[in-house]
Amino acid sequence: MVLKYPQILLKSPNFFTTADNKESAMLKRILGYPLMALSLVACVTINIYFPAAAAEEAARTIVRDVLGNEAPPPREQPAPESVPSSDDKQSAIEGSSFGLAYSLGRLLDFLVPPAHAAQPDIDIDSPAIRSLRTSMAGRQAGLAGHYRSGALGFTNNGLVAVRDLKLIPLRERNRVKKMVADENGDRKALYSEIARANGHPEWERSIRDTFARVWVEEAPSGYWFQDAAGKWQKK
Amino acid sequence: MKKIHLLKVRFAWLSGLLFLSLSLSAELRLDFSTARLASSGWLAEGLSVDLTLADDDRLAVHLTVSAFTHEALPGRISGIEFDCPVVRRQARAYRCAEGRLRIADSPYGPQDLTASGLFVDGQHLNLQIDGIKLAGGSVALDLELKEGAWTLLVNASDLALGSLRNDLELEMLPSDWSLSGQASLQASLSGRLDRPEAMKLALQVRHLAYADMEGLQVAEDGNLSLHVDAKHRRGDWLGGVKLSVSQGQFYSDPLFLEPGQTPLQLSLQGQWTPISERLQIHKSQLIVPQVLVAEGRAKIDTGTFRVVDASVQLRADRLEGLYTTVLQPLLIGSMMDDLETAGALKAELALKQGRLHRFDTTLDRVSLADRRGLFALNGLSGNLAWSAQGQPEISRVRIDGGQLYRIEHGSVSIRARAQGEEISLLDPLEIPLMGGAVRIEHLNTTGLLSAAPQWTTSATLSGISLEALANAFDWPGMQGELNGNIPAVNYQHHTMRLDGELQVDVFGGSVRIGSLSVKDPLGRVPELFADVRLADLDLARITRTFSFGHIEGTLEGEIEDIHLVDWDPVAFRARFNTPEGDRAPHRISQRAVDNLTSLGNGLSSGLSNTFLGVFKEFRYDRIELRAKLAGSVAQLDGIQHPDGGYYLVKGAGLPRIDVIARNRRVAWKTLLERLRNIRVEGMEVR
Repeated sequence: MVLKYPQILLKSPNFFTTADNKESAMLKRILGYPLMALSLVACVTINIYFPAAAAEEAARTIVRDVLGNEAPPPREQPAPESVPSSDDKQSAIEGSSFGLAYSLGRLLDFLVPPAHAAQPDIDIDSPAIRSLRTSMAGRQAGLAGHYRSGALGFTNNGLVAVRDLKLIPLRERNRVKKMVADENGDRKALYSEIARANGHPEWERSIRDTFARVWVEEAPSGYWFQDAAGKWQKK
Repeated sequence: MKKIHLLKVRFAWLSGLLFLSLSLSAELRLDFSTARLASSGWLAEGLSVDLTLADDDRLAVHLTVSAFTHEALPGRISGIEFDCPVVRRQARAYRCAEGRLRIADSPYGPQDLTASGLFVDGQHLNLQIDGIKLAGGSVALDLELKEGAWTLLVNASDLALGSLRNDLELEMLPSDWSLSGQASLQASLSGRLDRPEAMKLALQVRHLAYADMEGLQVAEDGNLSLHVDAKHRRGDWLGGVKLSVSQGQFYSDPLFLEPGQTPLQLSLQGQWTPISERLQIHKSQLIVPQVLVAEGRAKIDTGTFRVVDASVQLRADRLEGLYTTVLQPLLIGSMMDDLETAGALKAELALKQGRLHRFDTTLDRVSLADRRGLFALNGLSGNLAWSAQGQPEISRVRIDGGQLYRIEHGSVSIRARAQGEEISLLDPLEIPLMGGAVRIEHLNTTGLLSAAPQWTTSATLSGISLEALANAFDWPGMQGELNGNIPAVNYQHHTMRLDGELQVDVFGGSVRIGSLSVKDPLGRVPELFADVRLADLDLARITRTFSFGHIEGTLEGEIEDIHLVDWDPVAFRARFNTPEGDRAPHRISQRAVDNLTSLGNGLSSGLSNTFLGVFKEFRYDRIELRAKLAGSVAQLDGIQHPDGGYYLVKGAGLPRIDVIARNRRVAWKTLLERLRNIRVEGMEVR
């Protein structure tokens, strides 16, 4: 859990900047101190942010498990402390340009230490998740050849799509289309269930986005994927 | 039509020249040449005619044209040379028996043809041309003209379809589709002046292959034959078409057909009115071996290729074939896309303006079983009718039996009416279930054909045997009944909610289940929510059933906010305790103490190893266990003990025994492990 300070506090340096005249400065101080006091009271609002690093680690575990031998060998991951993930932006207090607001934020961190919790883990060990992983891993052998041929690809929303139907022999098309429908059913259920199992159904979109990225990162060379604009690319 | 017109113009041009030459003179030799000869739509350049009269009956014709263009031709024909060394006059007729026509270049390549014919006058002619090279094959033409009536016979063989489409600029398929294959054609066209009157053709295609850009319409290695027999009457074409497909793979998204030993056959009889762009199919039959036989009639707008009105009778003697080939591909992605099917059906379908308007299906011992084992319906017989508008036929279906989540049910008779997106029961539905029955009084549906169907119903459950239920789920044998009156069952947003309570009369008391809802009941990860209240349960009966160890007394409790995901608990708040003022004797056996201790702490009490081991039973004052599951951690609690622990069993009398637990938090997996390790006889804890 990370504290998020109300906007009024982030903008509070305005109250302390120089004023053109004393009346104006006085007026601002008169209004400013109660508002600051109010903001100090109000700023105990705690927002739980999406644990992007943990979600990514969980996604990588599942994706490697599903892709099996297709997945490339594990690479050295940079320490999170040294290279913060771009997705962590929302949970970080950025930049020194906030000046006084940032300092007040640090002061509040000191005053309200219990509210600053460690990065939470992502639980991927529920029976439903295990069942979905098993189902997806079992299907991978049937899909792998079609990923490699370019008939199927990973979409930018964490699903699988038929990229080029022509690459699938006519006799196999409906079997492959059913596998794709089943795989997408499992994937949607997986993203939803991870969010639910971690007590935050509203994380589903973020988890799906994380998986979308990790599927592509873990895909072997030759697999096709959609870029952010929806255009197919070969890895 | 353009081709016919072209031939006619060509013939008129040639015959006109011959006539002109011969009428000029019977001299020994006549040369005629002109730089340009033109009429509407065509132009001949460098025309030269050389006629040599050998005697009264013999005439040699030599004709050359340096270039010829016609608006119907895709390019110019150059280097035309025609020779007919002998033309014999027979009773005012002139015959060319061994003519030869050479063309140095044309849109269809160079040609070297043999030509023969009989010319009487401008109204009477016979012409045979053989050896036309076209699209890699050859074409022979036989034209007869008699007082304005004409007949053209075409015999073509080994035509490459791809080249044919390019050479003749035929719009047989969209231009971006690939096309290949070999075709042979025998055709007979007849007409009068510029009106065709009859057409007969037989087309054989081998190794047919076509594909659109997306691969949604594809054929590979197809062999087919097409017969057309049509006549032109008052602006309409009347006749029939027969198509037989004997080999190949055909994909029309999402359907796939691969004719086997018995060819696929389609025959149509109808009338086409070009001026109003209407095709009326009076009679049709489609036979897809092992799949279906369909017959019907239809009215089709050929401008938009939309079915204006159609009536189809369909028969599938093997539902399995129909499901595999037609239904399953259409149902991919739904809960009906993985079924084992059996039985037969007949159906009458009516379409209006391209949409299904009505159907009436007769089912003959149809069985549907989900391969994942979620549900099955066996022995469906009767008729199933539906109508988009108007009063539909009454549906009467009998189901011999089936199962849902391994809960089997008996035979069911349904009388209902289905119209639009609504189904209404005409009689209450009685479903025999595990010694009892579920009675459904009414059913209201909306959006049945949409992505989010909704329905409401009410149900009464009576006399459902717990023993049978336990057998279905491999639970220990239990005696009791499940009863309930549910005034409203709603299905909305993929969630089924039950108002009211189910009551299970079991173990001498009752278990009431309320606030029951199931989200995505037949989906991948179903979720169940419920509250359960237990009252006046006889512990002696419970412990006897579960062989937990003997306990006497009464038990009450509740399990609130139950949340199962994929039928595994992920959350609940449970409390089980001895009721206040319980007058039943309170006794607990040594084994039950052991098991309760094991449940609380993970270790056996080891009572048998102490002096208390001589006592088989103890008295107790109160039993209480509270458990709260949230995710993977369970919080246990009981009667508060002064030193910080909690009683699971608070003893009474002598020898007194208390079961006091110290750990309050335990991993759910560990708790399940403890339950598995409990010394239970004849029971498998799952």
